[in-house]
Amino acid sequence: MNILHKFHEISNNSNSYIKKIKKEKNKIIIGSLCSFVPEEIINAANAVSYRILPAHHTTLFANLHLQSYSCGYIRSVLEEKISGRLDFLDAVIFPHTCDSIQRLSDIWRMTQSGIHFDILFPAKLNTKSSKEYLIKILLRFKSELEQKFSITISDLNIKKSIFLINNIKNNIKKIYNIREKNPLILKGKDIFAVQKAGTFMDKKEFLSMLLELIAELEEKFLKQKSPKGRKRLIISGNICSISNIYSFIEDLKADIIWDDLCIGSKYFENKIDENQKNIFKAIAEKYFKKSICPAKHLGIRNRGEYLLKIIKKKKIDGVIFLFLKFCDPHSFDYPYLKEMLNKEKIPCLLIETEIFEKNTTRIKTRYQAFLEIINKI
Amino acid sequence: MITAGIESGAKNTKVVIMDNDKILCKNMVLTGFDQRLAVKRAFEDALKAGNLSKDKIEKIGATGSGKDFVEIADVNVNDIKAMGKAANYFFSNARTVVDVGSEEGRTVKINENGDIEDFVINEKCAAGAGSFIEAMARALEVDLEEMGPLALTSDKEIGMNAQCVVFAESEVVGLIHAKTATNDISRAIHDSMASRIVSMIRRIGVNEDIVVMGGVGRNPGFITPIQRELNVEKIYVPDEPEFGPALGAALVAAL
Repeated sequence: MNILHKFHEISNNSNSYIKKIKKEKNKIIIGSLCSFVPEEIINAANAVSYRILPAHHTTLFANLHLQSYSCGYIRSVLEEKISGRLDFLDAVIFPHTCDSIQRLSDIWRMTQSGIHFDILFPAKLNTKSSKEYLIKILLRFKSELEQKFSITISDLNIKKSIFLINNIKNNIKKIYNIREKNPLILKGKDIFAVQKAGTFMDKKEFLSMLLELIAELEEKFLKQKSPKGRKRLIISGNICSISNIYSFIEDLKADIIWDDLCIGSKYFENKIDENQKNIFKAIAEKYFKKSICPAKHLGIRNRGEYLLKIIKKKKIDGVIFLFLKFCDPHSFDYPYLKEMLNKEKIPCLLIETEIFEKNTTRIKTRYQAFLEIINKI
Repeated sequence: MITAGIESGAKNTKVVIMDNDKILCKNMVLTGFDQRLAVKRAFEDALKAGNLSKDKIEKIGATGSGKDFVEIADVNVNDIKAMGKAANYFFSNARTVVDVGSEEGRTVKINENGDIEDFVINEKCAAGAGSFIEAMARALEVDLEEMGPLALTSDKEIGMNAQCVVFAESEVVGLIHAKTATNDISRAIHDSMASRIVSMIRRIGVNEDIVVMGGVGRNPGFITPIQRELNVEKIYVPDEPEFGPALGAALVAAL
């Protein structure tokens, strides 16, 4: 099996992969709902951070607890828990980011069993007091983790984890940089599988697979010429669970060469300062320079300015906003982002989808019309 | 150059055959369950209506939600592009195009050549689509064709809150139980749907002149509130607005 197939295999079978890791390596498995989770601390606890991603199951039980305006992601996570398909998890972490995750935490605590952590992130990530507060919150999380699992998390292990995870991030970025120059050597659905696998794999194993993939890509890169005349797009939004979103675009002679997604550039662009002596201050500071989540605040137009910066740097022809239906934080940001892009004459397209979109024709129609606009510019 | 445009829509399948800028013939059939069969019937009947044989058609463009199933097509034409080109054909002054199909409502900003500059398609539900008025006509037990003229006889403004067709229907039932006059309810229904479309127009910017296509274009109960809401002197509607996308596909096929 070549390395790319291995990534797809793992990415498509997250539960069986993680059960195997738990059994063979005796790891603690900690579920998480958002990229804000401090995975460096989790990894230092000899645990695996398992990002709970949407699953392809019909909602039978979660609707008892959720209102019709809850997003499909929240619905799917709760459904998986109630149905017993997450029984391999030793604990679940709820980082307080969007309202839905916070409310799900309450529902979970009241109706579900198991170890449960809340990380109460501050809403504003640009003040001195919120940074001091976040350092305390991270320290508290570490000691809660130690207490619940009767373990000790050493500073040295946290430092090692920071180094390992930074290394992973550098290497994912390397793949993005290669793809940006020649997107045809690694298709969108492939980078999607790599990223998805990275959200739950054992970190060391993931890094070694990444290095193998990079070696393969670098070789391919030298042999294969860069395509000409294809349009360069960026995708922005929340969790993307439709891998053929990429292939629809590729069929229209365009490529999503960068992204502004949690399981994408937002992950690898925010590294922890390895030279900072106070490791908890260093971890906290990661969130303060993080390309921001719309549920948090880092300046009134921070997200728009960040997007424009990438657009200029990467010579982007258009932006696709891909939102899950009923995702309030992203939907509230959209009007001002569109306005900022319009001012710069950058075409953008908004697509709202369910977790697993059945009607892909409607998405294709929108893509085609969007490419019509871009091709005329 | 003789071209055919086929719109395989969710409810109806339409065919327009053109000789360059001249419309030779057209035909429309219900799509039903078998899109391929509907395309075959609509195309063959259109050829008969124009007294044409299939080999005279040099190119065929397909559009609509079932365009991928139109096996005889040479060109797959994006629905939004077809709208823009058709609006430009009917009215060269068109800059905003509204197309209300049975399942989707769309607004498109176009330039002087009919090329797309921006567009919005309804995302949430059928409240911006033709099936909304059909469902409401059933609830009111009024013929679909009568709905629009009936709405125009009302001078009462009754707000409807529901964003969803199913809930809107129960709101209509509530109004019926409250003995609200049928014409007032019909107006409320049309105003509600028009307000969804107006919001979509505002999202791309109000650029005159505005053209409405799709079967709903024939409905004065829908056109009037759009005009009133946007405060524009005229809304342009082609004679047979339901054939707009098929005509657009025929025009694109000739390019």
